[in-house]
This record gives sequence, C-alpha cells and structure tokens, in this order.
Amino acid sequence: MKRRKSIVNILYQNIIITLIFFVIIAAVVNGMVSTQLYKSAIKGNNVIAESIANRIQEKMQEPQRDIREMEQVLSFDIFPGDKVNQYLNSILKENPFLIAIEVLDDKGTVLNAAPPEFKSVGMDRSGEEFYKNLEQNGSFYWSSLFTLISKGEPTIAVSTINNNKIFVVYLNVQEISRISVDYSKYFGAHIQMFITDEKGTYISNQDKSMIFQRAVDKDVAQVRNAYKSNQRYFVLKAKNELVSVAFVENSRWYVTLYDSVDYIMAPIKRTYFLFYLFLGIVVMLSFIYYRKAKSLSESINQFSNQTRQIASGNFDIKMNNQLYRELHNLGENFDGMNKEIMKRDLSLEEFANIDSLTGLHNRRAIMKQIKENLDQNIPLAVVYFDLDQFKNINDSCGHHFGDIVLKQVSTRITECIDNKGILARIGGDEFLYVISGKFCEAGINETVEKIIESISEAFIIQELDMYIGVSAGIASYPKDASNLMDLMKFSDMAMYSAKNKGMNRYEYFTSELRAKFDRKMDIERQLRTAIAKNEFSCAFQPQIEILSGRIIGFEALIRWHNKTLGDVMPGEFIAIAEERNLMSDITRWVIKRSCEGILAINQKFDRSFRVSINVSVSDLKSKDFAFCVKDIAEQIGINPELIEIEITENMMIDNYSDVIDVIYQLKDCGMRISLDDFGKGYSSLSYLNRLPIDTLKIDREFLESSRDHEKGYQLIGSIIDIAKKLNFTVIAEGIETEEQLKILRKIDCYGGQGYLICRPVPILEVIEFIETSGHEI
Amino acid sequence: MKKKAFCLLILILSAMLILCTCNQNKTIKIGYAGSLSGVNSDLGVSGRNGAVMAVGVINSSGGINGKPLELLIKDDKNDKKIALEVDKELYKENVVAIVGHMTSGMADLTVPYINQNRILMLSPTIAADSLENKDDYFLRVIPSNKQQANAIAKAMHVEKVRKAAVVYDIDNLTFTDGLKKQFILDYLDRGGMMVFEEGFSSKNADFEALSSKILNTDAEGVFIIAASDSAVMLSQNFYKQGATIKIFLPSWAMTTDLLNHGGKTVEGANLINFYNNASDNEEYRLFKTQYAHDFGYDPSFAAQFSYEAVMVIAEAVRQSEDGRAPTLKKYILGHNTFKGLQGDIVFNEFGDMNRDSYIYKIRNGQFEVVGYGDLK
Repeated sequence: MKRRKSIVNILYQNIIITLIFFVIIAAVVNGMVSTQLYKSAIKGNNVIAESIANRIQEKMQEPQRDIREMEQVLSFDIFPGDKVNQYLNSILKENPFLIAIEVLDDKGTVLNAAPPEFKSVGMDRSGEEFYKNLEQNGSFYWSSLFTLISKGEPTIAVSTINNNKIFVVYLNVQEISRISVDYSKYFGAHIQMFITDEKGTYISNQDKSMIFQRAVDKDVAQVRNAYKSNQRYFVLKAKNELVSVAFVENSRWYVTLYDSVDYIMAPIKRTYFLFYLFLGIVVMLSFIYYRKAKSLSESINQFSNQTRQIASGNFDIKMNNQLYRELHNLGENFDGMNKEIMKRDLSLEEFANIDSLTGLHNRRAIMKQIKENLDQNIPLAVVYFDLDQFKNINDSCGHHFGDIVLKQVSTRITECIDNKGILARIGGDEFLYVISGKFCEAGINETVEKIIESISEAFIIQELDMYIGVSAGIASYPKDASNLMDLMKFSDMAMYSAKNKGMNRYEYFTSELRAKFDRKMDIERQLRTAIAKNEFSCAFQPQIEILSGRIIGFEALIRWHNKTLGDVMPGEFIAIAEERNLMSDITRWVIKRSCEGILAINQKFDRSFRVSINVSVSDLKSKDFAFCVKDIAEQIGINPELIEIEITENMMIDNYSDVIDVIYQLKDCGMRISLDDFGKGYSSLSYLNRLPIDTLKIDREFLESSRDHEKGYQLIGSIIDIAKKLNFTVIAEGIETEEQLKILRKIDCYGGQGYLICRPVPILEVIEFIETSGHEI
Repeated sequence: MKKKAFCLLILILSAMLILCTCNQNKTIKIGYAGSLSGVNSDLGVSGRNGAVMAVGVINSSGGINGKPLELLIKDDKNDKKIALEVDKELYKENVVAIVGHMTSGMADLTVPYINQNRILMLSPTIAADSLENKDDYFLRVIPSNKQQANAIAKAMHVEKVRKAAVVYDIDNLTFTDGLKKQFILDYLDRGGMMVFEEGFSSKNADFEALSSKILNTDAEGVFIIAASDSAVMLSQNFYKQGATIKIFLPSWAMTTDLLNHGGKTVEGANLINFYNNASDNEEYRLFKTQYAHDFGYDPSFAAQFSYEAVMVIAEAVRQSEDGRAPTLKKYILGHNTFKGLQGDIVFNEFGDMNRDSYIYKIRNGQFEVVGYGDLK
C-alpha cells in the first residue's frame, strides 16, 4: 500500500515550499480573474461606446433632416423677399442643435441667413472648408470644428448642394457635447467619454473649455488605428487606461471611452492585502495548529474551486460562507466584486434594450424576448402597430413635434395594455405588442380595439389638436408561424392588409394572406432565374396621332411566362422585383430588347419611331442609370433621342431628391421624359413644373371614369390646355372605344394608345400591324 | 538553512514591492499661456499646437536629461486679469518657464508679476515696443513693432496707396497703439496721407458701420491692426458693399482662419510676417509636414515661434544646473544664438530680437511671399 504523507508533516518539513506553492496559486488565480475582469471591461466598454455612437448618429440625423426639409420648402419658391430669412429663423428657434443657418448660391455668397443679428447675408463663404469639399451628388459634408466668428463659439458646418443652392447649418457643439456627456454619466464617474472629429479636435468633452480651445486629442493616431484595424480598443500605457473606440458614420466622428485599468482591477486588488495577510496567517497557524491542517486544506480547495468558477465567468456565486473568518472576509470581497460586475452587466443590458425616445423596450429587446418564448415553445401573439400617415406630421410640423406625438402614443398604448404583455418601439412609428402564455383572441381584440380607440382621440400638443390613426396586424405562434422571422413578416403583412382596407383598424394573419405570401415567395423564386431561362418577352403597343391616325411611336411592355406560374402580370412581379432588388437586371433587359425592337422597325420602314420604356424608382436611384441606358442605346446603334423614359408621379412622392439628378442626366443624354399614369394618384400640378417632362400620359382609369359624364372630358380638356401651354405632348392611354377616340379628337388630344388601336404585341406582329392596319407611318 | 532561505525570500518580496511603488518619473514642467477660446483665439490655438509639438519631439527623443517635459496649458481668454491669474497658477505649479502670452495686451499685468516673482517668460508673438530694451524676465522670439510698421508702410508705398485709413483693436492697445503710431510716422515719411483713424473693440464692434465709415472716406487702402477674426468681419463687410479697397494686415492676422473665413473677400490682401512659409529649409519642411499631419492644416508663424520658444527653453534647462529663472535667463542671453526652424535666432542683451520680414499677398486663397521688408 502506498504510504501517504500528512499535511502536518509537509508543513513541518517543507514550510518554504508551501509558501511558494501558495504564492503560485495566488498568482494563477489572480491572473485568471484579472483576465476575466479585463475581457469583461473591454466587451462592456465597446458596447457602451458603440451605443453612444449609435445615439449620436441618430441625433445627428436631425440637422440633415432639417436641411432636406428646407430644400423641399424653398424649392417651391413660395416665400417673398425676406420671408425666407424669417422661415430659416423659425427653424433655428425650433432646433437647439443649431446656432445658425445659411443658404448660399453656388459661388459661395450668402443669400439667406438666420439669425438676423449675424448680418451674414451678402458675405462670402468660398474659403470655408465645407464649401471647398462639397460634392455635387447631394450628399452631406460635415466640416471639422471651427470657431464661428459671428458668435465666438465652436461649431461644425453641415452642408449640401441642391439645384445650385448650398444649404448650411452650423451646429451647436456645446449642446451636442452636453447630451453626449449626459449619456456617458450613466456609466459612472470612472468612465470618461470624448467625441472628436476626424482630425482629433474635441467635439464633446467633460471639460467644456477643451472644445472652445479647439484642443486636439493626443491619442488620435491610436484611435484611428484601433478603428481601422477593427480591434476597437487599445491600452494607453502611459496613463494605464483602457480606451474603447466607436465611429459615428454620418458625421465621421470618433467616440472614445477611457476607463482606468486600476478601476477595472480594483475588485481584485482589494483582495490582495487580505490574501497575503491570510497567507501569513496560514503559515503561522500551520506551525501552531497543525491538527486543523486537514480541514484548512479542504477549505482552501473549496475556495480555489469557487475562484475558478468566477474566472470562467460565473459571477452568480456566493463565497462568504467559508469556515474560517479570513477566508470568509476574502469571500465577501469576492462577492462584492461579483455584485459590481453583475450590476454593471445589468445596466449595460438595460441601456442596450431601451428605446431612448419613449423609454419602451427597443427592437433588440423584444426580439430577444420573442425568441426566448419560441425556444421554450410558449404560445404567443404578436401585434404590429403602425401609425397612419405619421410621415405627414413629421413633414408638416417637424421631427420634434413628431417625437412628442410618439411619446404620447407610447403612453396611451402602455395604459391600454395594463401591464399585460410587452410593448416595444421597433422603428420610427412602429410598435410591437407581444402577449405570451395563455391568451384568447377575444382578449386581444378587446385590447387592440381599446388602443385604436385611444389613439384616435385628439393629441393636444403645443396647443394644437392633432388626430392620427393606427393600423395593426396580428399573427400568433404556433398557429401562423414557427419562427421569429415569419412571425414578424406575417404580423407586418396583416398590418398592411389593415392599412389597405382603410386604416385605423386591425387584421389577423389569414389563410388568404398566407396564400398571397406563398405566391409572392414562388414569384420571387422563379423571378431570380427568369432572365437566364429566357422567360421574359417584350411586347410593343403602337401610339398614334389621334387627328390623323399616323403611327408616332411605341410603348415597350414586358411580359413573363413561367412554366409553373403561367402568365404573371407585370403589376404583380414588378413590385416583388423592386422589393428584392432584382429590378436593375430586368430593366436593362427591357431597355436592350426595346432598343433592338425599335431599331428593327425603323430599319424596316426607314423611319425614326420613338420607343417609350417604363422604369422603376430603384432604377432612377442608381446614379449611373442614365449612362447605362445611353451605353445600351449606343451599343445597339440607336440614337438616345428615340428613347422616352416613362416615370410616374408615385416615384416622386418619397424619392424626389434621390431621383431628380438622374432624371436630368437622362435629359442631358438626349432622352425624353414622360410622366405616366397622370390622373391616377394625386395628379399634382407641382410636378409638371418641377420635372423636365416632354410627354404627359393620361391614365386609362381617368379616361374610363370620364366615360359617363361630360365633366370628366372637360377636365381632360383642361389638362390638355395646360400641357399645351407648357409645351408637353399629351398621350391618352387605354383607348378602347370609338366614342373615346372621337371625344379625344374633339378636345384636341395629340396622341393615344389602347386596345382599340392595337394590343401590345410581339415585334413580328407589330411589323405585320404596320403593314396591314392602314395607319400611316 | 531553511530559516535563511525564508528570510531571503521575504527580503526579495519586500524589495520588489518597494521598487514597484516608488515614483521614478518626475517631469519638468513648462507653462503655455495664450488666448485659446472665443473670438481671436486662432493665434493662441496655433501657438499651443506648436508648443505641444515641440514637447512631443523632445519627449520622443528622451526628454531633458532623462526627464520628460510636461506642458501645462492655460487659456487667458484674451483678458488681462485672467492672464495674471493663469500665470499665478503656473507659478504655483512650479513651471520652469512660461511660453506666452500671445497678445501684447496680456503683458500689462503679467510682465510686472513675472519680474517680481522671477519667472522666465518667453513670448512667441508679443511685439509691443514698450517692452523693448528692458533687462527683465520677459524675452521674446518676435521682433518689436518698429520693423513691422516700417514694412507695412513700405508695402503700401509699393501698392501705390496714396491715401490710407487705419483701424485698430483697442482690446489689445498695448500692441495696436504702438504699431499704429509707428506706422503713421513711417507712412507719412514715405509721402502718404492719413485720411481716417479709429479704434474698435473686437468683442462688440459694429463692423458693418465701421466698414461704411472707412468706405465713405477716399482712402485707397486700409491697415487693419487686428486679429484674423476682426479682419475677416471687416473684409466681409467691404465685400457686401461691393468695395475694392486695398487691405493691409499685421502678422497677428496671418492665420488659417483668415483664409478660411475670409474667402474671396481677403483675396489680394497684403500682410507682413517674420517667417517664410515657403522656406525650403529642411528643419522647417519637416516641421510643416508633421504639423499638417497632426493638426490638419499648415502651421502659422505663431505655431513656428511657439515651437522655437519651447526648444530654446528646453536647451537652456538642459544646460543649466538648477533650472531656476535667473540661470535660464543667463544662459539664453549669454549663449544668445539658437537654432531656429529657418536659420539661427539671435537674442540681444535685453532678450529682444530682429528677424527678416516678408511681405505677403493672398493669392488663390494662399499666403504668397511677394517681397521683403527690412532685413534684420
């Protein structure tokens, strides 16, 4: 049998070895816990820096939105004389982030400005950094920090150019600094947060004078490197500080967070003294109380195991139940340290999960909650709310006003749900309400109806009565969907169904919607391979001069036949292609085929017919679209002047500033622009003035609806009169009867197309039509 | 044996503990004082940047006699009383010398204080004549006003300005009054005629009204004795009124802010300075490149002179035994010649100096040397 030595004997015989052994154990445990503390601090501080950067980024959208709003309002030219300055002043007063606004001409001379006391109208800004770096593509330029001479205060200029006018807002950097410093205070005094511009000049600093003094962060080179290398942190050895770095994309600012390494390591350092004291005592006691050696040895083992658990990240462990007082004290210190770490993790979690505007949960938090429920197979219902026409409030009353509405909406919904379920704001005006566990449809209906009713009541904001509505869609697990993504998608579809049925109501996800969803999925799947499988074809519909019947051109229309789905209408698949970013290839295909078709017709009949091509909003958002069309035309060998690009009013509503440049580029390349479907939507006359239109196409529904009453045709006649004065060509679409043709002739409409003349047909049939129909060419 | 080994171990541990806790890094402190915030702060900010850069260069090559330099930066807010307070603070912090202040007005209260308490002050940009030829603790690396006044008068003569106006910032009267008087003497000497003269406060002037007053005279040129911010406000107002009056500015206004905020309105303006921004001197070229890298724009004269001032003090501290003000002063005035960024800089027995002066014109948004004032 193997002979075992007793601890007592070891202590007696090898006291020095034991001492070294303890020191090594202490060093190892210390190393493990330190590493864990350090890693936890890096992770935590990086999350904080990122969160602050996100919040600043969100806040800094406001000046950009203000500029866009100004661009839009001033483009109407509605203000006489110095009223523009008054308008700018009203924007300035509304926005605490701004200290001055200027509108310049393209030479840099100030045309309009606020506040009036700066007297800057007529001054020259051509030397300013923001003027020299402006890009013509409508993007925003954020300058470095400088002192605004008129006020003697630090500022940053945000500028953009549109239609040869330069819009500049000067930011109130002190306010930005105050807000960001407030964010950082939430994480305790040991953390210092700074924001600098790209050059390292302070924009936010607890010491305000650093901003006024345009002081430069000494560590800016390391900050840049940390960001570029994607490590997002570095250690400042001279000051023994951990520095976390995040980047604010729109303004190109760095957010840096300095945390003292001493503070991070403080919990373990407090234990050092006790540990070594304890070590000494252990040695002494070992001499005197050798009988206790065995139980002491066990206690130390237990203690060692517990510290190992801490090192592996398990902070939820109690260590103060030790047999010996010294170990107990040491354990209490460890408990304190664990508590602090857990508290910090909790605050971080809270910060990352709360919507800063309403105080509700944010998207991240509610998604996590839903996922947890799904993982545990707990039934749940998801109600997706979206405010009706909320964009109008933002557009007409400004974003600050909109934010107040959102806060009040969140309060009302919170009151209605009465602590049942979870409510979150997941986007601009979108809220998500989740009920899990036991629930019944009637109960949900009652709550949702209560919410809709509550929101329908007037909101009184700044002495204004404001009315809005809300639409909701409901989907549940496991009935409708089996995963998070589908649940969100289905509740969203149900919400849109409610909106389509008239808004201010709610809808459940139904089998009908499911079928629609499945159909959409099928179309999307097939659409991805349609070009490769040669499933598209291009049809041409002739356009004639109404008075003479002479053919004047053709509209090219895409057709799709799929083996599984059969014939799919463009109205159905174009929307899906747009949504899935598949439009670009399809449009290019149509342009190519249209050009080839019109070339064939023109060569055959020795004419110069024009072809009209429909494009989508995503095409117009593509900056190189005009050049791409021109390239295709040149490759095929037709003059770009024979191409007419058809756009619709709907494309303009939300995307005017994004697409207008491309429309002008198309014009510059020699192509004509046609405004399609006029009379279908808002029929805004302002677009007739703002867009470089050559042709106005009156929508078929408009023509159809005019059939039974004289006034309808009189209205079309008036539109034709306006169009003539503006030098537009007018073409009526959807002519189906001789009577319509007769009336259009009477009211002097120039051109027309429709089934009465010819359906959209393949190229060979077009040629046959020209040869046989008797229409002049 | 065991007992001995145990004691040895305890001794080693104790020694390690002592070594870890003792403070090895004592620093040598230098103060910087200038106007760093608000209107007219561009000069102070440039000076601070130059000083920061010099300290960085010295520390990266091992500091002074193994000790790192520490720069304590103070903002005098262009206010005499605050200037005095910040000097008192720097004195309490035991700085070996102060680099600053940057405008002559700040000297009124601070120079008596430093002389009384024997603090060495080496100013990069204070040019007031009243401080010339005095055996005190105030030294400077910029020539006095006389040289500048003469050069401006010469520049006006070259530009064929027969009738001139002069406006000056009363918030820095110590500098502007001396320069104005000397300029008028030199200009009249050259046969010119003064048609307008008025002081204004850069803190609350009505620049629109002042510019109208100037334009209502038949002056062909105006000498604006002010910092870049005030110069910009006046030139912008001339531009607004469609005027084409020739503008002349002192070295004080020659900063990046003048170009950025003045734009087209300062195009063609004439300036005087004591450095050559196109110098191909190797040291200056390296300094300029590094400065642009660190701060994002080219160094002004204030940045260069601050850099040189820190380098002179560092050299004096390196060579002196005790680092006290009398010793440093003795070394600087005794040694008298130091290596500058554009050749040697030489102190006279009172700690003043002359430098070559250059006449600049703003062309295409840049300062361009077009002639020389008096040589030193």
